This record gives sequence, C-alpha cells and structure tokens, in this order.
Amino acid sequence: MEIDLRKAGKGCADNPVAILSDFIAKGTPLCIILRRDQEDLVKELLDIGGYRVVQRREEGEYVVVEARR
Amino acid sequence: MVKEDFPALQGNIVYLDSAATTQKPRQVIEAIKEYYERYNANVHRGIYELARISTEIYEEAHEKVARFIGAKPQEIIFVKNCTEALNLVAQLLSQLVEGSNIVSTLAEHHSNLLPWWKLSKERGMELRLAEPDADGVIPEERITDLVDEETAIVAFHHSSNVSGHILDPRKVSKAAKKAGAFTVLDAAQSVPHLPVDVRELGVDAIAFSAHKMLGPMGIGVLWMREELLSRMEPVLLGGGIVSSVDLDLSPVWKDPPQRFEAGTPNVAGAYGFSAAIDYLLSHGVEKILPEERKLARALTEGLKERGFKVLGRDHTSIVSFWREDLDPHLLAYKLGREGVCVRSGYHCAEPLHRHLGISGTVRASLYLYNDGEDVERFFEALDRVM
Repeated sequence: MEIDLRKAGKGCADNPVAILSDFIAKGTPLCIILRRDQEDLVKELLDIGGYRVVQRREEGEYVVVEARR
Repeated sequence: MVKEDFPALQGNIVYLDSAATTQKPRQVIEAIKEYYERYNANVHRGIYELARISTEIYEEAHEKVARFIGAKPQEIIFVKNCTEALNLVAQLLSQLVEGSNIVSTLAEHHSNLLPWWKLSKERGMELRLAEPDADGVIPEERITDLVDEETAIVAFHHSSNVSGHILDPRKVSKAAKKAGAFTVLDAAQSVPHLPVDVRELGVDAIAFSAHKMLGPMGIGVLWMREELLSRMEPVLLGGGIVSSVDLDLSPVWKDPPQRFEAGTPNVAGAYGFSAAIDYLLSHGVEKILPEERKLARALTEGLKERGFKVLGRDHTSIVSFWREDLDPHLLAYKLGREGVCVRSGYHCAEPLHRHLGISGTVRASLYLYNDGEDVERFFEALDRVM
C-alpha cells in the first residue's frame, strides 16, 4: 500500500499516526512517502507496530520508506 | 459499582474519551432493542395501535428532555447531533437577526464557530472572536467586552471541550440581552455533567447531544425559547412539518417542535435517550461533576509531576495535556495499545491550539463510570510508554 504523508496535518484524523495506524493494525506492507521532519515519528510508529524498514530512499526533499512485518 | 452497568467497560480498557462520546449502560442498549422489537412504527402518521405507541414514546422523550433542562416540550427540537443543532440555530436566527457583528470565541468547537463564520460572510457582518488567556480559558469579560449595540448574536460554550473550563452563561447573556443580541450556548460538554436549567442561564438557545450523556448516537437537541421558535420558518422542508399543503403548494406549518423536525425522526434514539436520562436521574446529576473534579485533580497533578503542561485551570471532566518533546498522536497511540483510550490533536478546536502555539494535545476526559483505579492505570500505562 502506497501512502503519501507529505500533506498530513496535526488534526485528529489527518495526522501521520492516525493515517498509518489503520494499516499497521492490519499488517499491510507499506510504501510511505514522507517529509524529512516526519521520519523519526514514522519510524517509531513502524517499530511499535512490529514493522522493519526494508528500503529507504531519498527523492529530492522527500523520503520514501518501504516497510513490512 | 456504576461500571458494572456498562458492557463496553467490562474488558481490559480504561475509557478516558467521554468528551468524544460516552459508553452506554445496559438500560440504554436494552431500550433501543426493546423499541425495535416491540414498538417500531412511524410517528405522527399511522392510526393503528403500534403507531400510537411509537408516537407516544417520541413525544414522551421531548417531555423528558424538557424536564431535564427546565424547558417546555414544545421547545425541544430533536436533531442528529449537537453540530446539526448549532447549524440549525444559525440558519433559524438568520431569519431574525439585525446588526453588524456576531461575537464568539477562539476556544469554540468548530461546530460553534463555522456556522457563525458562514452567517457573518453571507450577511457581511463582522465576526468578533474573544481570545483565551494563557491557560487557554476564556474569561466571561473577554466576551462581553466585544458586545455592543450592533451585536446580533453571541455564541459561546458552557464548558470547553479542550480545557473543561466552565463559563458562567448568565454573565454573558445579561450583557447580550442589554445589547439586544441573541445568545446561543454550546452545552455539549455541560448538560451531561451538571444540572442545567435553561431559564436560569438566560440564553436564547442551547445545543447538546445524547451520545455524550449515555444516550445513543444520532440524536441531539436544540432548545430554543418558544417565543422565538414560533416566529421562525422551518429550514428543512418535507413531511411532518405541515398541517396542510394547498393546491398552489402554500404550506401551513405545524407548531414547534414538529415545524422543525422534517421527515422520519430517530424514534429509537429518542427512546434510548429517555433511558439515558432516567439513568442519569437515578444516579444523581448533581453528583457527577464533583466526582469528576476529584479524578481530574489527580490526573492534573500526576501529569504535572511528569513534566506535562495542562490546559485550563479548575479542571472539571476534561484534562488536555502536552509536552514539547512528545508527539500527542504517538503518545495517544501508545496509550491505546495499553488499553487506555484518549484523544489527541486539536479536538475540533484548531484556532484555540493555533492561538496558543500548541501543535496538539492529548485529552483525557471523564464521566460517571470512571474511578480512581482508572487514573492509576492511566499513569501506569503512561509511565510504561514514555
């Protein structure tokens, strides 16, 4: 599942944790496009969810992280 | 012993999200089931026995809600939720308002802000917003200072859904009345927690939801003074609101509240709402807030000991907290995995958070089923995840 977090906000439903936690609960393999300032948060969340990052690449000012259980 | 009445609380969870919605006691769940098994029929239409009983149930719910807040049954309009009630009152008042400004506050829930923003845009009126103090609380004077003889409406909260601070509506309504303005009170976080008598508040309209006071989702209340309702045209048109429709279609409206309840209403919800009110009355509404205050004090003290900042003062049923080094959503997620249900983010009050320069808070909110053990388990979980 490809998830673009670049426009994620800080509200109740549009924040990275809310967006990702549904997929993490299902164990879906993830390809996440994110801003650099979101990276630590996303990695911690993936770690809690039992995911490991299988690939990380930089695309300009953004980062693409592929992770699976 | 209250917790035993709530099936959803029998598992290994600590439910601290009652400002979002409350859990339901068996009595409410059973009432909804009973309605569909024994009484289901459409209201105000059929002439058979089942339809008569269903209509009676629906009308009794109006009476029960009215008694609960010191109102008349004809002043109780059932809607979908508090948001719909606040939108409806904005649309209704647009029929009567004169003036060049609307006064509200930066600490409102979006539901008590955006309808007034829309109305002010449509009418070319100024929307004046009272700013909170450093604690995130709106002192009454900050609202009344914005009111003048050109103010058409003053819309404000009774109890904040972020800080839990309780305003004195009488101070605001007195100033608004003097200026000739209508007053609308968002009572979503107050009616469930403390005795409310609408006549004592001095306001013209209040809005609240059943689901925040043990009742089902999908039913809320707009209370408005009878003398205002009787002067207004309905906003939603259709069945149930007219006495007659002539060949030229000119309708004759029914009296309130039916004039404002178009279409098939949520009768099962109304029956469940009645059961919720019975439960609250048997528990004692006056007991709820004092118990919550004790727990809120314990939460606040424990959070401050752990380096958290807490919004508001004199905490009631809501404790919103944050720490600069912790993402509120991640913290709420971690607590959720420990079985602790809290909310994170702006709590539909983004302007308040932005004004205070806070990028979100975690909110723990209490109700009559919470106890000291919940607070202990909350801190045990918090200490594990931090």
